[in-house]
Amino acid sequence: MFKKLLKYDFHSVWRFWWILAVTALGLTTVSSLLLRFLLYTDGGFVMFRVFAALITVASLAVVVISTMMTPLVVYLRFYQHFFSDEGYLTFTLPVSRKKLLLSKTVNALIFLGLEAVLLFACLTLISLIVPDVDDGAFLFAFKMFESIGESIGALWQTVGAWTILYLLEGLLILVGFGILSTSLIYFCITQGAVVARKHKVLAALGIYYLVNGALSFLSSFLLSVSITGFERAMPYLEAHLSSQGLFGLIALALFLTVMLMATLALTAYFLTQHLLERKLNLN
Amino acid sequence: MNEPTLVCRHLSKSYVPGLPVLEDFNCSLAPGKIIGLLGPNGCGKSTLMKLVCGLLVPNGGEIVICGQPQSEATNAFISYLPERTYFNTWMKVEDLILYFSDFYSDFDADAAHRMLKELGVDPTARLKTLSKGTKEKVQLIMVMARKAKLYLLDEPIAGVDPAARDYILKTIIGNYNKEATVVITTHLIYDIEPVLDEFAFLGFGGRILMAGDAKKTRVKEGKTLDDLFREVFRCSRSF
Repeated sequence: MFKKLLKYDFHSVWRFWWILAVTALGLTTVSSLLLRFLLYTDGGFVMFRVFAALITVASLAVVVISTMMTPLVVYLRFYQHFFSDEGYLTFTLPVSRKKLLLSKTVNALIFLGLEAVLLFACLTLISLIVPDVDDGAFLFAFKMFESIGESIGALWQTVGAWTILYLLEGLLILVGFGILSTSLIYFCITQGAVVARKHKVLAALGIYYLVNGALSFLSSFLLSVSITGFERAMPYLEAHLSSQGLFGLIALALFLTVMLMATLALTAYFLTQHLLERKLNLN
Repeated sequence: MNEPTLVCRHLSKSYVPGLPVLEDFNCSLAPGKIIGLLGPNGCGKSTLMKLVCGLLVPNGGEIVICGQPQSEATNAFISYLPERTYFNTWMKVEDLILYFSDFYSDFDADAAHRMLKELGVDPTARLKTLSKGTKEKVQLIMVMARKAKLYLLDEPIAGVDPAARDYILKTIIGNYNKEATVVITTHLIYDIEPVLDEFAFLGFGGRILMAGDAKKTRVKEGKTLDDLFREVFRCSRSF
């Protein structure tokens, strides 16, 4: 049943997403080719340059729109499938609400991942097609990748093999951020639907700002406490810890960040599951 | 003796504290019957169906479906037609058939295609291109193409023309699983009356004011159920 749910959830977003993805990739390719042509032909006609500029702006706009629209569509589908009239179909399926929620969460993560891949592909397309010339604003992407490589190299020079652990933890933080955002938004939408009979979306937005405000306060508080603690402990650490110990401490701090995000995400996820199973009255 | 398809014990539900829609509601529905749940607006007919399907959480009481407490597992036995259109409008009719085939093991895709053909609905049409009446008929076809144990039909003939009502009733009678229980709610008692085996008049709070065998009651009272309904609920809010 879970596979079937995922199949239909995936299809409901995919039918919209592939159009954005193909448009973004197509426009990026065309704009990259046009820019390359302009570089080699020393400009060409004014109209052609204007056309190239327009295509470039359009491709950037589509990439930006796609980045914003994908999560929006995923969350909108969550709302529609569960809390609009479609909920009458969704919740009368012989499927547990645990599986319904899991399917929606996995689907969201798939599309957030696909969106990241699309963004990376668009930037890579620009950097690959534009020739390797040192100056020129269009080489931003290429230079960006180059500078990322240089930063990782510099980190390796300083901390050695710890780099791998830091990169892994950084990746986990990115994934964790995606999961946390999705879980929180699903929780707010569900809570909105539970507390409000009419203005569910408005209620969800209100709850989202409340929860986000509380989390921002909590994270600011934790950050200030950690910085103060670290400043106080620094002389002691410098005196008693080797450089390897210090690097290990940084890895531990990153790991704790991952754990904190995971805890928050799981809390939001299970609260949503509880609301769906015990509190939801579909009206 | 056959196990009841649906049993409700001391069921209660209120949307607003102190104003119960259903209060201490009890019933036991036998298989193989078409039962009319008849009552004025707000007496809890739709609420009862939603509770049985798990769309609402009861404040108290117990619901047992085919011997099992209400849960997502019992949804496999229930074929529910809500009073609103509830399908994804971007889906094609044939997508819906695949969807139902995927999730309901008792769904008969051939029967669905046959009923669509009888009605002249193009299976390749998208739901958003269909009229409201046709969408409702497609919903009914999806629901009746299942070989369920309990059919819950909430206002299946409301908002459609008299010719369509005949078609809908014919579809219900011709396609339901004969060992199943069919529960129909409606205000249009005159239209639905001929197909009912049993009936129950529901007053406010879900109180059962009158219930029994439809045919025997008609003979005994010398009136149609429609006339009886008008008499029981005549110009009074005290029921």
